[in-house]
Amino acid sequence: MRNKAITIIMALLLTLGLAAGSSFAAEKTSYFIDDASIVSSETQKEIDSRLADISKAQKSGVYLMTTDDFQGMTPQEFADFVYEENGMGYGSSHDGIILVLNYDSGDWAISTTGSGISTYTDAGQEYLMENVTKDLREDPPAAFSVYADLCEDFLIQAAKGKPYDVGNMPKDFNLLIDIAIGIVIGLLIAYAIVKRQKDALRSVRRRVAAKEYMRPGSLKLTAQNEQYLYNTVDRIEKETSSGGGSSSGGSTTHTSSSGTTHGGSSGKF
Amino acid sequence: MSNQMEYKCPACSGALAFDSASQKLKCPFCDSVYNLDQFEQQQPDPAQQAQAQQGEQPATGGMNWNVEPGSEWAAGETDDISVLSCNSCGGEIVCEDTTASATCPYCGNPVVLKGKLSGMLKPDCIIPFKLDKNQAKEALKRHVARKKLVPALFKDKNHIEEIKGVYVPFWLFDAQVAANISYKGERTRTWSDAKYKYIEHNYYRIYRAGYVAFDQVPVDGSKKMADDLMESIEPFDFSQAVDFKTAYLAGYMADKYDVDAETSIKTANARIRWSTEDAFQSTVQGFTGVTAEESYINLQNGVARYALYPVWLLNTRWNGKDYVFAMNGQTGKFVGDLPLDKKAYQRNFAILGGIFSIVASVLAFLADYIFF
Repeated sequence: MRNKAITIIMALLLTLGLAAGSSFAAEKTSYFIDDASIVSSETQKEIDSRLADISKAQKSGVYLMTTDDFQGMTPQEFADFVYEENGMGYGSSHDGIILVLNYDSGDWAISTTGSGISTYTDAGQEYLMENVTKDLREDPPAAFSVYADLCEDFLIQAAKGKPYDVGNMPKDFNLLIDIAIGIVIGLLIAYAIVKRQKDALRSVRRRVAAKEYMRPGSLKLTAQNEQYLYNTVDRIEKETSSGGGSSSGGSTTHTSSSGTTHGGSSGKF
Repeated sequence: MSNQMEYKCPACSGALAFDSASQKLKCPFCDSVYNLDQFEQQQPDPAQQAQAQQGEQPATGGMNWNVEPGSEWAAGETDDISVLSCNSCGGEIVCEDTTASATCPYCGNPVVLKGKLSGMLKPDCIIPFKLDKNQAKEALKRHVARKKLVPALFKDKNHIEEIKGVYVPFWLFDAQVAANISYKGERTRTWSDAKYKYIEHNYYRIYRAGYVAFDQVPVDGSKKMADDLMESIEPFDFSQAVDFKTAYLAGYMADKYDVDAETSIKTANARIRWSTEDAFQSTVQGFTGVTAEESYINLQNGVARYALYPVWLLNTRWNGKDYVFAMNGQTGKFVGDLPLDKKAYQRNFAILGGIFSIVASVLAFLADYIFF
């Protein structure tokens, strides 16, 4: 009986120790791993600090890694591998996200774990990368900053119970674009009005028809027929509404070689 | 080119003028009013002079025209008619002997006496002026007042006194048209199954043959009178045309035709052809994308006549450019291109552009917020 009690206590201590170790690992792991040396060490620290702040505040890891080598793995496998190998993520379910960028091959991959799977839906990841990939080559620090900001935004939104997904995507307000569209439309309307005013100055035109002089009721048809010639058929494929996960919302998941369930996506930049 | 006539008032010997309101000759000095017939009876019997001009004119454009417009003047009928000539534009004006000091209705320059009327047929018919000079003045004011981009100085400047009533020569063409036209048209049918939407395009050759008639298609017979200007004041109501009497010219000028009927046929043919094709195409129903492939149009029994139509004319000059306005003396339709105030154009564009840009920007922002 005593032995059994000792065994249980040991097991509990071990479990607590592992959990503590896991949490510790998350705090110890760099949030920004710049293996490809894309930014200066000072910038690396700034980005790492920013990602750490977000992760701690939101209790969900936000990681970023640059590399030149996927070590023979697919981008997705590599992202999963890095996340697991470094014990990334918060809590027992290792909540979080990592974005891996291969500056040599131009591949990117996202791996999400735990609550990160529902926080970063397929549609959300697509939106995220649309915004991040814009500057990945020309201005990496700016792109990394966008990544951090958007991840924070995604986490705040998910905390409200309604993660960004199909039909509930972030609203992109671009006042300059709205104003530019408004100016173009406004000028077109103004041009149409003044053109009409200008055209009103012209009332002298040639006449091509003599319709007014056609004797009423004088049009008599003596023959009329229609002869069928040939036909053609156009076939247009209907749009299907049950396509990928992104169209119906939610997150698609996969299982890594270690058996852990991840969300994620990959692409090129 | 124009000619002018004078009739003496039996009461005071003043020059009578045709009054468009009463359709009679009126003395502006003693207000006496006379029927046209009283003066026409003094003229020689028109039947004596009605010798048709025959065998002059071949048909044009493959159409079968019988062109015998106008007639010879009776002896003495043109005694009071003079021809004035404009040294500036070369226009010839037919008018009464007493109007030698008139100005050219086309360019506004003084005209000089050229001589007695000759080389001009007597018109078959005439539509007398129904509207007077005051109505023409009002029409001009309305025409200018409604336009926002006319220079203010042009609006203020008063050229109204220079309005002239001119009988413009028109060749009128009546025609029976036989047409034989093939079209290509399309009918579509759509259906769908679980995977695809199908659109079937069925093509047809459509055939139409038949007849249509045109009456009094007018073509301006004066070179000096811009064709587009005269076409723009159409249509005239030919049902109000009457047999020509020289008394109708009293107080007005008449243009002397210098484009003969044969030359004018081309213009009439083109208009008749266009409207025939249009009328036949309107009988093709239930098809889309209808296009004419073959068109055979033949005029049968085409007849031309010579008529004088009433037109009020105004010439004015603005910044070195001539502007001519015309009003249909029967219906009151007023036309004439107006000068553009470029500053007003730019100002309006800037103001409207600013207002609509602000409104559209706000709407774009709201749409962005609500829908995206």
